[in-house]
Parts: sequence; C-alpha cells; structure tokens
Amino acid sequence: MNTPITTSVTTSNTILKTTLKTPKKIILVAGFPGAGKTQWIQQQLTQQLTLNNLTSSTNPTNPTKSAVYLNLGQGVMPIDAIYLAAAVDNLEILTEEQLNEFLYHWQQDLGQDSGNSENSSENSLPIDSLYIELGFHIDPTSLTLPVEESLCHRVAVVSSATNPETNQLDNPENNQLNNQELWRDWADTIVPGLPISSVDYWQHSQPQIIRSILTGQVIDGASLETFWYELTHGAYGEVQRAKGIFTPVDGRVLHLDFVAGLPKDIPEKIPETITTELPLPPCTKGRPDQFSGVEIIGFNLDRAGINQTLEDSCLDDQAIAHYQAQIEEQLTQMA
Amino acid sequence: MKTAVISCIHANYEAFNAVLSDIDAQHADQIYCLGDLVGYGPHPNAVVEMIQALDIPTCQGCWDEDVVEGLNACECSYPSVLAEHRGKQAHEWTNQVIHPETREFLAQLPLSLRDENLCFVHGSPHNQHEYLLPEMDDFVALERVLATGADILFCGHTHVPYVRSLADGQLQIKVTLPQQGTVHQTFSAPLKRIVNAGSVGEPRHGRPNATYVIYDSESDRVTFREVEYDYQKTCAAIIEKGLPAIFAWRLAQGLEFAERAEDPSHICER
Repeated sequence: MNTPITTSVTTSNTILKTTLKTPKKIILVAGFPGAGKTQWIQQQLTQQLTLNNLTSSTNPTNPTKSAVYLNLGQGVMPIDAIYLAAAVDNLEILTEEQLNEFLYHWQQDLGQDSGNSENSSENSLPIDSLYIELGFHIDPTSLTLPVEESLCHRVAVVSSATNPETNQLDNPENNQLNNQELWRDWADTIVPGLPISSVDYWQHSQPQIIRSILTGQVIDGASLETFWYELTHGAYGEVQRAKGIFTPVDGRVLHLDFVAGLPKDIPEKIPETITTELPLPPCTKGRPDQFSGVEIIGFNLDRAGINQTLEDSCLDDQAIAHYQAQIEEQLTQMA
Repeated sequence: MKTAVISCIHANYEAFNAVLSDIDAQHADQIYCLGDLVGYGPHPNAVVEMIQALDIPTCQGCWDEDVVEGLNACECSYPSVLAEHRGKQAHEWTNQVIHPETREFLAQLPLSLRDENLCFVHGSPHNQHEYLLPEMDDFVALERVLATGADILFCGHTHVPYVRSLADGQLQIKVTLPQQGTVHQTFSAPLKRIVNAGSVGEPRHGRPNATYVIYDSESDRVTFREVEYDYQKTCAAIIEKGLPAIFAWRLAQGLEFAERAEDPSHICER
C-alpha cells in the first residue's frame, strides 16, 4: 500500500500543502521544441486518469491516484506546468528546487513499499508517476538523478518531420531533428511527435530564448492578437516556438501555443497557434495575481522590439478600472 | 481626359516617385491628390515639396489636419491600445521633423476639390476622418455622393482601393405642410459612384505596392493601378530616421501601421 507523504512546498506565489501518493516511476520526457512533449504527457495523464476513474468506480477500495509533474529548465516560466495543472485533475506540480527533497522521500517510501505488487507491465506507465519534462536546452544524456536506473523510463518525442515541398518525411540521415539514432541511445521509448519541417539547428548558433514575465499585467485583447501575429510571422526574428499565458481585461486566462513549420497541405491540418482558455478563476477586479508571461525560442530575435510591443499592449490602472467597471455593469444587467 | 487620383502618400517618397513615373507612362492629363501627404513615413517634407513643385491639386487629409492642429488621430481609427501607442509615436515624430513651410502648406489645403462632375475628398464630404467603406449602408453611401452634387466621388482614407456603383436609387420624400396636407414625391437618383484611390505610401491590401486610380472621362472607365517600387529603401529610412521599426516590417507585409477602418456603420463625430 502506498504511504502518503504530506509535504509543505513553496511555489512563487502560494504555499501548497500536498498529500502525494508515492509515484512508481520517473518518466523523463525529452525532445526538440515543439515536438509535442507536453502534449504527450497530457495525453498519457488523461488516458490513465480516465482508466483509473473507471477502475475506482468499480472498485471503491482503489483510491484516485495522482501524478506529479516537473518541467526541468523552465526557470521562472511555469507555462507548461500551469497548462497541465489546469488540464489534468489531481496533478501535482513540483519546482526544480523541490526535486531533490522529493526524490529523497520518494526513495525512502519505495523502500517501504518493496512488496507492492501494483507495478504495471513494461508497456504501460503507472498513473503514480513523476513526469519530468526536459527543456530542449538540457542535454538528457548529462542528466543523472539520485535514484536507481530501473525506476526511470526515458521517452523521446521525435518530430515526424516532413519536407514542406514534398510533404514527405525528411531523409533521417540528413535531418538531425528526425534522427532517431540521436535518441535511440538514450530513450527507452520513442514516440512520434508533431510533424514539423526540418530545422537544421546545427547550422545556426544555439537558438535564443526570450522570457518575459507579465504577472500583474492586463493585456488588451486586440493588441495581443496583433503582437502574436507579428511574432509568429517574423516581425521580431525567426521564431520557432512560442508559448504564453496572458490575462486580458475580461479576466480570462489564455494559453497560446505556437510551433513553426507545421505542414499546411495535409488533410489533418494542425494550426500553428492553438489558443486555449484555461479553467482558472477569472480576475475581474484590479490586477491579476495569476502568473502570465511568454517564452520565445528562435534566431535573430529582437528582444527590445518584443518587450516594447508587450509593454505597449498592456493597460494602465485607469484603463483596467474603466473596462472592469464596464464588464461588471454588463454582467449586472444580464443577471 | 485621363485623371490620375492618388491618396495617402504618408511621407513615402520612394512610393510617390514610382507612382509619378507610372502616371507619366499612362499618359494621364492631370493629377489630383486626396491628402494625407504626411504621417508614418520618413520623408514628409520631401513629399510636400514634390506636390508643390508639380502643383498637384490636393485636398487636406486627416493626418494633414492633425499635424496642423497639433491633434492626434481620432480614437475610432485605432483597433487596439498597441495601435494607438504606435500612432501617437508617429504623430510626435512627424510633428518634430516637418518644416514650418510644410505645416503652412498643409494648413491652407482645401477640404474638397471639384472638377465638373467629379468631387475629391479625403475621408468623406462631411469629415476627413470618416471612412467610406465599400460595405457601408447603401443609403448613407448615396447620401455622401449626393451631398457633393457630383456624379463620382473620389475618396481615400481607407487605403484599400475599390469602386462602388450606386444605381437605381429610389428616394421618397414626404412633405407635410399646415393646411395643405402631406405630399409624397418619389424620384430616382442617377448612377453615382464612389471611387477609393487606395494608398500610395501605406498600403493595406497585403502587398507593399502603391495603389492609385485613373479615371477616363471619355470611356467613363476607372482603372486600378498597382505600382511596384523599392520599398526596402523606405523600410531602411524608417529605421534610420527613428520611426518605430515595426512600421518597416508592416510596410513590407502590406499591413496598416496603426489605424484601421473596421466598422462601416461607424460615423466619426470628430
């Protein structure tokens, strides 16, 4: 039987007291930007949660399990973590600072659970798992966790890259991005990711990363649309990947996710930008506490231009108060 | 008689030069300009000097008026807070660089021009800031033309060229006089047209090329002209002169720099 761990952990804005069931496996997920790592993790968690809910409903003695997620390399930008926490029930979020302590307790509890027969078969990943998503700038081969190797399962999400002219799969010998040999030495499992055009990163210098925190800012919706269009169409450099969380004046929390190079001429067209409204409490008075910010990966990025446009797109206190009052009045009239 | 009608040069000297060459090649007999000589672009004084040198009849545009009066663009033109910031930057920059004689020239421009059955305005006959969009209400559009007494109303301001024919217009009026009862009268409006000349210097049709129109009074035909030019030179000048660099990118894409006409039902009250 799993031993619950009660811990107090501190994130940037809140203190969480969580009760975690002991996860059984550490799943390391790596891949190039935009390959679909977060999406794959979400799919796994959602599928397992559905399966687990069905099991729980037929076996009341089997309590709802939980999973834990850590994005290694996110720095001060917990965009993926916030997105997954909003999308997946019972997902606990770890920060990098909490990892060592977490692993220490985890191993201790595993030692107590050595007789547990709940370990799943080799091909299915148990719900009680710690998913560690590795930022693209982290060399997965250099990562060593203070746990037994057998407890780690390595997954590489590899783009099924297509040549934009032929719409055929790129020659894997010439395409670093699609070079499964690159991952085969490291990964236990290789899963196909999004079909993005080949980008030979080795012909460029290391891609730049720009991170702008916008917490406390309210962004004008129409301005956000203009900024995002400019960003994803080359106005500020060659953007390969961009994701952000924004709070417009109506209080919603929007998640924007852009991947460059998706094929356009296929039946199952995938939009380059996916916009999701996160199911988080809206902020209808004053400035929001909810994290917001944007992370941009690419080449020849115009940092000053990006920052200026973001600054010019945000509302001042007077405008925020004015629009929030309007919204409140409209809601009152509708009620 | 072939009349070339240009509009919204917006201090884009390279585009203006290319259009003048094209007008020459098309053997136009005369040129009319619908204003907005300055604003957004990097060469306001050079454009005004050329207009003066060629003695091109020009009516005052919204930007010309704003620069003279020290105002900013009407708020209904800005689709976003970001656009408003950028528009204000362009205003401040233009205000700082134009010569006194340029300002004087813009101040004395008329609000409209007339040539027989042709009328030339910047926005609408009522207001330099009003957009005459192609999808605006039929009656309102007809009223705008009838107000001028002309058959063809040339306008700019929207930066997207079009021709709109207003045919088979039926107007009915009811007059009630004391002790005389009510009299109904119906009359048909003859064919009227609104012709938008697009923009020379700040195109918004998805390409950086300049646009203008030529009206041939003999054939009663309107021809749209789209002129390629070395827009990269303008882009370089935008950056060199300290205008927002994003204007250079947006020019290359054929997008508005800040203001955008959106609502055909909106009547500017400025």
